[in-house]
Amino acid sequence: MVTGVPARLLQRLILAACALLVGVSTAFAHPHVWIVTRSEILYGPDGKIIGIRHAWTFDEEFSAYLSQGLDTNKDGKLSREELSGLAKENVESLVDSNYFTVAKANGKPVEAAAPTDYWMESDGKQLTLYYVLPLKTPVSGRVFALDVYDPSYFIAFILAEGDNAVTLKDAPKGCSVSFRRPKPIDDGVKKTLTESFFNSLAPNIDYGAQFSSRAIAACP
Amino acid sequence: MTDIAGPSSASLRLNGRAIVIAAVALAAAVGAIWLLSLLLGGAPAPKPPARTPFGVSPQEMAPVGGPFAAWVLGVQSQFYRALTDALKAVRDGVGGASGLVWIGFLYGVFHAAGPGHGKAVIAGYILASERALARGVAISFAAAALQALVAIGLVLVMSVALGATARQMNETTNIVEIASFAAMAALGAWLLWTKSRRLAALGEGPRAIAARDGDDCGHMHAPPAELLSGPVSARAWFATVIAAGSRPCSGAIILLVFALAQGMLGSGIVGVAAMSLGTALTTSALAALSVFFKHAALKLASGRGRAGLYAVAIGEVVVAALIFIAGAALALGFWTGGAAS
Repeated sequence: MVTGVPARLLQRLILAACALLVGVSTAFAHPHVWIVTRSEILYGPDGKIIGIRHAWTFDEEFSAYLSQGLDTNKDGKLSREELSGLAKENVESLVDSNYFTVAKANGKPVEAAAPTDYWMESDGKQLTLYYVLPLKTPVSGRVFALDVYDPSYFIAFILAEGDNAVTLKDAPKGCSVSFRRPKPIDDGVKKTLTESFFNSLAPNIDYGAQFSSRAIAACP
Repeated sequence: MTDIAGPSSASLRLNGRAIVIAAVALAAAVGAIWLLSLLLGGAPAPKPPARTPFGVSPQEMAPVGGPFAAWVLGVQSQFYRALTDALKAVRDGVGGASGLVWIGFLYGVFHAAGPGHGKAVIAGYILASERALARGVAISFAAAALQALVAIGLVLVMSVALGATARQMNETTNIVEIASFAAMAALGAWLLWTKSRRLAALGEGPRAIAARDGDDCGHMHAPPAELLSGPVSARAWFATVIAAGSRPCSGAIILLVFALAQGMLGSGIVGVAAMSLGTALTTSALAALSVFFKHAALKLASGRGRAGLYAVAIGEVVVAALIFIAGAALALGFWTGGAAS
């Protein structure tokens, strides 16, 4: 019934429709949230790593978005109390994103337990979320690698500048931390196209990982 | 007796055939999507988290991929930063509204360059049942304007009038989002039914076409190609605009709330309006491309007799089925990642 050119035409119509839908399925969401991260790697008395204390500072725009309607006493300032509900909500939902934290001890991923000791603060412009992410089981940290990133790159995590971006607390003598930072994002875009082109041919790759920074804590 | 029974049994037969056609088209569309995901995907996309922190919509958390995506993301990201910077420049008195308008416009152009469900709805609608360039462009502008108005309305009602928190804002946005996906599914279902009936009628000849009831495009004397591809109705037009444009853009909402917090909501609205104009431009280009494609298809089909007509009719039914499936999957949350706009 359908032969020759019309069959090809039909084929083309269907292909076009499919292309559209594939377009739908691979959505682009550029970052709408920028978070500058600082972390502290916490060591126990036995020299094992027991957790990570994060301090995440949101960009000014998203801070305004997050804090709308929260100044309940209308004094123009946001107290820790006014932000406590938001802090709770955030740390509780972070579990579904694995806290955007990928930590590996001696090459093996470590599991995180529920956050403790969390709160949020405002400096008038920007909000900062503080929380402790305990490890399920303390690990010996000869080589401990810490990445904070959003694989979908909706949230752009940026490691704070300077050598104090990740610090060690109560670490055994001789431990030190080093950083591997990505190229600045502005001139990084072109580079991304060339360098990781062949790495990223597989769809749905961990795109956000390309922009992540890694801190490596090493102990003797 | 036969005069009365005749048309009604013909109409029954027509509906029966249309149901079969619609079911086959749905199965074919599901099969095509499945096959394509096998061909392109390999591993299924990781599911975005069920609950997302910081009040981000799960739709936005969908994974992305590919170097082209990386490039578009990079450009969009820079424009978004430039836009918020322009707003801050206005606040600090170091920049004028014209900078805000220009950057908003360019952000809109580039932001719309990535695929999103809105663009799929518009292109799909045009492929399935539109031929006029002017109407395609009008739909694009209407959808972009609606998107800006929904964002402005949401912020005015939720933030200004109700003093809502980010969470309440997100919940409302999610409801609007699901409604827009439902509208997409409804549009797809309706197109699928209309187009299936037309395909069924094609098989029965002109008498069956005449027997169709309740259809808006009732010129039975029109040439069959006209019948296949004429504009469906104002209802479908509105459904397309609502499905494509009612989901507000998160960037616009964040920008507006930020502007409000700075006491410069007016500037925020100007920026969002400029953004919407840019979006309309890009979407119009896509609409024009779809119209062009549709014309090419009709031209190829014309003069090839029934085979050509069948090919176009089948193509339209399949596109309608794809719109329905995508809309339903998005609305039911089976398929995330369609909504980055």
